[in-house]
Amino acid sequence: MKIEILYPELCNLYGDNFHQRYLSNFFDEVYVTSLKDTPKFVSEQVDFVYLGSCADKYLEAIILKLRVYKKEIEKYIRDDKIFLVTGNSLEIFGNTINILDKQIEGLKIFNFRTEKDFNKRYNQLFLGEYHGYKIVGHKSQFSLIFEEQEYPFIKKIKGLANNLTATNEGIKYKNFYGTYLLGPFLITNPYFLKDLLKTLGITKSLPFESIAIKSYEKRLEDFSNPLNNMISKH
Amino acid sequence: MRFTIALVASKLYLQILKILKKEKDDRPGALALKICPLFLEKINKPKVLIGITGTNGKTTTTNLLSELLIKSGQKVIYNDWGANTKRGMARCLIEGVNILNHSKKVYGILEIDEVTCDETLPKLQLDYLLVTNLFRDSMFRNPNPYYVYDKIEKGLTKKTTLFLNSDDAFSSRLGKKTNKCIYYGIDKLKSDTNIAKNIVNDMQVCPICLEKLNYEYIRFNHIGKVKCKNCGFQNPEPNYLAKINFSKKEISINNQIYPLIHDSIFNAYNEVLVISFLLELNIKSTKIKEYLEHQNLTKRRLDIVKNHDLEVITMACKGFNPVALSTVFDYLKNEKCDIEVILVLDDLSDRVNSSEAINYLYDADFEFLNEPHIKKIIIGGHRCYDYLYRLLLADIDPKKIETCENEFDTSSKVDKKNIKKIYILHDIYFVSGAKKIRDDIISEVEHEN
Repeated sequence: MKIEILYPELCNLYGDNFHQRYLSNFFDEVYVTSLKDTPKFVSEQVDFVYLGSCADKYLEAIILKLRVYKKEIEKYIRDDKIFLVTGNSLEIFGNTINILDKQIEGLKIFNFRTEKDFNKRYNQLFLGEYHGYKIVGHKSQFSLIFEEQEYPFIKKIKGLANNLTATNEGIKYKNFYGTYLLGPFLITNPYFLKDLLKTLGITKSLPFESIAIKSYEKRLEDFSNPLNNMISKH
Repeated sequence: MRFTIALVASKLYLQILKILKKEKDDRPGALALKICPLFLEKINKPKVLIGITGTNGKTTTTNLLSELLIKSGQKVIYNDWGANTKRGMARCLIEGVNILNHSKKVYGILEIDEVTCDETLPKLQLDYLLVTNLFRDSMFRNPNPYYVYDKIEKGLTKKTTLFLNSDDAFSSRLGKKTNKCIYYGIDKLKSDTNIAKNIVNDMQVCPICLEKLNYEYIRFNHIGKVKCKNCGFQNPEPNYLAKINFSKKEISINNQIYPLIHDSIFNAYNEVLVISFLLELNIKSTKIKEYLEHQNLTKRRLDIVKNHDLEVITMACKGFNPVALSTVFDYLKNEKCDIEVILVLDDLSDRVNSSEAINYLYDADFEFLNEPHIKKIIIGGHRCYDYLYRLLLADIDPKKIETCENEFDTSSKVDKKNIKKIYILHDIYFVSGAKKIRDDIISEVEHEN
C-alpha cells in the first residue's frame, strides 16, 4: 500500500504534518511530493493521496501546478482510490474562488464555487454524521462554498456546514473526501479512520486505540451538549 | 470636542483606578475610544513611541525594555500586562499627555497585537517597531503567519524604524523596501543542526520564487540561516550580532558582556532585542550591564519557588501556540537533572458552552518530553485524554504518564523522590491555579520534612 503526501512544504497547517505522519504509518511506502515534482499518482500505483490546508495566498500556485494533471486526478478519482483533502485545499477542486473583485479559476472537478472574505473568519466546531458514525471536528476558515449538492460528505447535526444554510459538510464522491474539518480529523475520529482504512484492506488496530476512542467519546460528549453553541471563543 | 471629553473622562477614570490601586486596567482606554473613536489618532504621542509586536515574546520584551528604561532614569509609560489591543494602547497613551493633550517627555512602550497592525500602526505613527518573530499561532486568532505578515506590512508607515530578528527569515523581510531596518541576531550555537527537529517549519519555501529552501543551520522551527539557491533570498546581516554562552550565562554583543537573565533560547532572543535597542538609543553598554545584573523575568510568566532541595517552577505557555509550547518542551529536554512535569494547559474559557480545538497539539513537539530525565508527566484538565493520546503518540512510556480530569488533583500525583525540579506548565490565564498547585506541592514537602 502506498500513500502520497502532496506539497507538504505548503500544505501543512493546523496539525496536518503530524496527521500525515500518523497516517503514513499504516502504509508500506510513503511518497512526499514537492511543488517542483511530478506527483507519483500520475504515473504509478498509489492508494491514498493527501492534500492538507495551506495559506490562502498559495492556493493559486497549487491550482497552477495541479491543473497540468487534471485528467490524471479525474482518472484517479474514477478508479475509486482515496483522495483526502483537508481545510481550504478543498477549494482547489471547485469552479472558482471569488475574493472581492478577484476570481481564481479552480480545477473544475466538482461543481461548486468558493466565496472568500478575509474580513470574516469562521471559527467553529462541527458535529455531523457519516455512515452511522458521529464525526467531530474544528473549522477555521475565511470561505464558504456554494452550489454543491450532488456529492455530500458529512450530514450536519450542529455547527457550520458548507455555508450558513447548508445541511452537509464537505464533498464525497467515490473515494474522494474533501472537508474543511482541519488537520488531525482522522486522529480525532477513530471509527471513521478504521472504516476508511478497511476500504484498503488495512484492518490493524490504531495505535493506543482505546485511548483514541476515549478521547473521541469525551469530545463527542462535549459537542453533543445542548448548551454547546459550536462557536470557538478564540 | 469629542476628543477633549474623551481625554478628560478617561483621565478621571484612570485617576480613580489609581486611587483604588487597580490601574492595570484597559477600561479607561475603552471609555476614551467609545466617546471618541479617533482617540488613538488624535492623542499626542510621547517623545519616543515604541511598539513591540510578533508572535512570541511581546509581553516579556515589553516588560524588560520598560524596566530597563526606567532604571536608566527615563520616564516610561507602558502596557506591560499584555493589553495589546486598541483599548490597552489608548489606556497607556492617556498617561503620556496632560489634560490639554500636551505630550509629556516620556518614552511610550506599547505591546501591539500583530494581527491588528494594519489598523493600529497608521494611527500610532511609531518611532520604532520591534518585531520579535513570526510563527504560526492560534489558528483562530491569527489564521496563519503569512496572513499576519501581510497585516503588519500593510500597517507600516515610513516614519517607523524597524528592529527585526535576522535569524527569522520570515519576519525580517518586513519593511525592506519602505522602512529603515535594523537587524539583531544570535550567532551560530553548538546546538544548531542542519536537520529540522520540529514538526512545524513555516518557511520551507522561498517567499519570492517558491523554491524549496535549504537551511545552513536550524535553531528551532524556521529560526536559523537559510538561502534560496534559485533567487538568492537569504537572512539579512545583523547589525547587532550576539554570542551566547549558556554555561556562563553571558551574552556578548560588540565585545561587551551582559548577563543572560534566563538560560532559554527564546528568552535570550528577547533580551538580545532589548540590549540591541538600548544600544541604538545610545545608552552605554556599562549601564545596560548594570541594569541587567539583578533583572528577572516577570513572575506571571516564570516563577521559581525552592523548598528544601526541590524547586517548583511555574511557566506560562501561550494557549493554542505550538511553537511557544515546543520551545518550552525543548528547554525541559535540555534540563540537567531529574524532573517531573505537570501540564495544565486547557483553555478555561472554551469549557463554557464550547470545546477546545486541539489541532495545535499535533503541531507541538511533545516528542521533546521523551527523555530519561523526565521521570513523570502529569496531565490535568478536561482535555487530559487528548494530551494523553498525543504523549503516547510521541512514544512516551505510558507508565510515566498520569491523568487527572481536575487540574488541582495533579499535585497529589507528584512523586518528589529523587526529583530536583517540578515544572508546572500552565495556560497564561491559569496563573493563580498553577500557583495553587505549586503551593500544595510545597506544603506537602514541608509536611514531609
